[in-house]
Amino acid sequence: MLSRRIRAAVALLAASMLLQVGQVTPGHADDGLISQGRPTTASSVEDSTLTADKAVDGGTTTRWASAEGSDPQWIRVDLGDPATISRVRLSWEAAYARAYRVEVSADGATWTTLSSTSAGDGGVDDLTVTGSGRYVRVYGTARATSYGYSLWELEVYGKGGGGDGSFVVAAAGDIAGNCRAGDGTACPHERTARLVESINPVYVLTMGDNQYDDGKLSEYRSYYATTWGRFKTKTRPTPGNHEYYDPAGGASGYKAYFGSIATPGGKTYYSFDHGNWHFVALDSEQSMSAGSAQVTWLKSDLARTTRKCVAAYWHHPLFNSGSKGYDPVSLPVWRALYAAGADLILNGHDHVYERFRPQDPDGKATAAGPLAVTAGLGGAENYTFEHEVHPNSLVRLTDLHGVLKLTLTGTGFSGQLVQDDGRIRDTIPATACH
Amino acid sequence: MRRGVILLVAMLVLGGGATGYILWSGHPAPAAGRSTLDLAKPGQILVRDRATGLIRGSSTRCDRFHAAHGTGVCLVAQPGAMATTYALVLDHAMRQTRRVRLAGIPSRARVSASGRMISWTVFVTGDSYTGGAFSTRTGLLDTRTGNVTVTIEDIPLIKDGRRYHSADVNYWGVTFAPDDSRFYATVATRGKTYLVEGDYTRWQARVLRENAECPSLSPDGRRIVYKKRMPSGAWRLHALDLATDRETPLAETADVDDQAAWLDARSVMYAKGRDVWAVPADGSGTPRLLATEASSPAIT
Repeated sequence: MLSRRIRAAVALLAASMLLQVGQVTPGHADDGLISQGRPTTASSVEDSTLTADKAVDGGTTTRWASAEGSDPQWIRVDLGDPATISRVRLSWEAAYARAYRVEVSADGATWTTLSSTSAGDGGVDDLTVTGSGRYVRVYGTARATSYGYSLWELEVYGKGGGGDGSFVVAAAGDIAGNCRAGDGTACPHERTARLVESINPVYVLTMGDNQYDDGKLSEYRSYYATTWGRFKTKTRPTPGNHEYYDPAGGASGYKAYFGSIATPGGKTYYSFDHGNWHFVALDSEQSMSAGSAQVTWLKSDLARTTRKCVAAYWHHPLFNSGSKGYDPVSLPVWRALYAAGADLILNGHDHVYERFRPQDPDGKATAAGPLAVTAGLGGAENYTFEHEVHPNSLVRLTDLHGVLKLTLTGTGFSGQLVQDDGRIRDTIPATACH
Repeated sequence: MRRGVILLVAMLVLGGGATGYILWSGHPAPAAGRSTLDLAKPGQILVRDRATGLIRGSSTRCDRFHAAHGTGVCLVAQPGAMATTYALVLDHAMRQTRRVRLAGIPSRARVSASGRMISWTVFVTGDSYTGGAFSTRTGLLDTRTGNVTVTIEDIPLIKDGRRYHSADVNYWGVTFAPDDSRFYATVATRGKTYLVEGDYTRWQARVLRENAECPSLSPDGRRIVYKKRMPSGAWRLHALDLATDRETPLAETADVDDQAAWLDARSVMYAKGRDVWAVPADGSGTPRLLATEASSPAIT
């Protein structure tokens, strides 16, 4: 018998191969994904890491699995409000259903079948359906294997429902000095960590200088791990200059601490999707010059994405009214992101908060450009605004620690700068994606 | 306004060539509020008067000054508990067009030959990695885009063929090439100083050689004059041929702690003691006095 890990890896490979094949989208083109992040329950779980919500988290590396060896089993998603449903897409893990029904219900008690099969073959079942209701259930009656039922993703498309595909991420840079959770609220990054906990985001984005002074593994373990390390599995980090001061080699402590979370493709830059959003995590300590490996990768990554909205983040801001001023290092990245219609850029490095109006890479204000925010407020000592204010700078705040809370919808975003005492210090107005 | 105040103008004929220079060597302009200097007029040697701090021929007071092609930069220290300097960008009539506030004490100032790029260096205290000693902050202003890089210390630096990362990197003394992108500067890190060649457009720099500070690039972009620390501890001006990497000591044997400026294609000028001197940039000749009680030489 294959170990679970190998089994999962094979299935993941198969799933990713399937995902790369061009998909014909059934249903109505304007029907949105209405199941992501919605409350989900199941008849059973195999273990505490394979919970029902993993099937609607937008991630193709996490999954729900029912208890092994038992029929029937089901998973149910609550769309929040009545919805018209046109498409249901099931991404089966190796533990797939031979026979199952997809059902819809207005009240969660009386179910109507939308689709059924007794010849399931796993992989992806992309089903065109017609129905309406608030609850959608996948009801397995015959397992194909001796395991249970397991779905990487259960996606319901349609109109209505209580969700708009929205989810929350928290973001900050310049985080952990040499104090730890045990120091309580005397430790700034423990205070911001508690704030992140209260926000309970889907992802935590870090914009570099996560750990001072040199981002050594011993420093990560002593300090960051005790505070922001509590969200490690849902953190999507980037490194800053301090990670590259590690005497063991540039970013080696960072890579050792985060493991594959920081280098999912073997590089310190990577991308991932959630809902209608494409996230690009970049490394401004690796070459960002035009024609560099990173910028070449970025351009092809942006060309590939089918998501409506794009957010990118890295350490060094291009435009900056704080202590460092204009830093040309990311200009080629800005050009690529602008050309691709990116929506949001997040940076750290300067230990301040600054929000810009949307602009192009040459600093000309235009709604076609991304909205940039610097939020180097995760815990490091603040800097000041003593130089000239950039013409597109709208909000400048310092002498505070906090995190950026972003609410990302299927069509746009809004946000808040939340201080570590819970106060809202800035509100990013609702902005439509390009 | 009185128009009859004519400044003392000395014509110097240098090196047997036909080229004439106007040297504003006399007294500063009266503080009448109007400068008779025109930075766009070629061939003027400008200096800062040590007694008054004024740029001779003007009513502009600077602690450091440089000018080229109708653009000037003037560093002015501000009194107060916090060391603060203003970098003033001046138009051809010495009128301020831009003011950048900097934390620190004036050290170096430079304008590119076209007038587009401006750089400054200030001394600062309090960087954690220096243990309280002085360090420097060098910035750039691109007058075409208006972008101010307050510190260039984050520029990707290549040393020994590899990307170099260190928290203590410090730059000073920028000089620009005619293309307004290539530049040279000094970098200090881990107890050593190096000459670096940078590129503003590509935003990258690389270490060229050790022990070469405050570079000054020749008008043709082929040679650099810089100060080199001698075993005695004194500074000595040297010239480097960029193509051959050959270093030549100049005929000035005194201790010179200044960023030289090219007077013409063949010679450089610099502050020595309380005066401004010039010397050929190829090791030949002897130093000669250009202006007494003066500093910050520049030629328009």
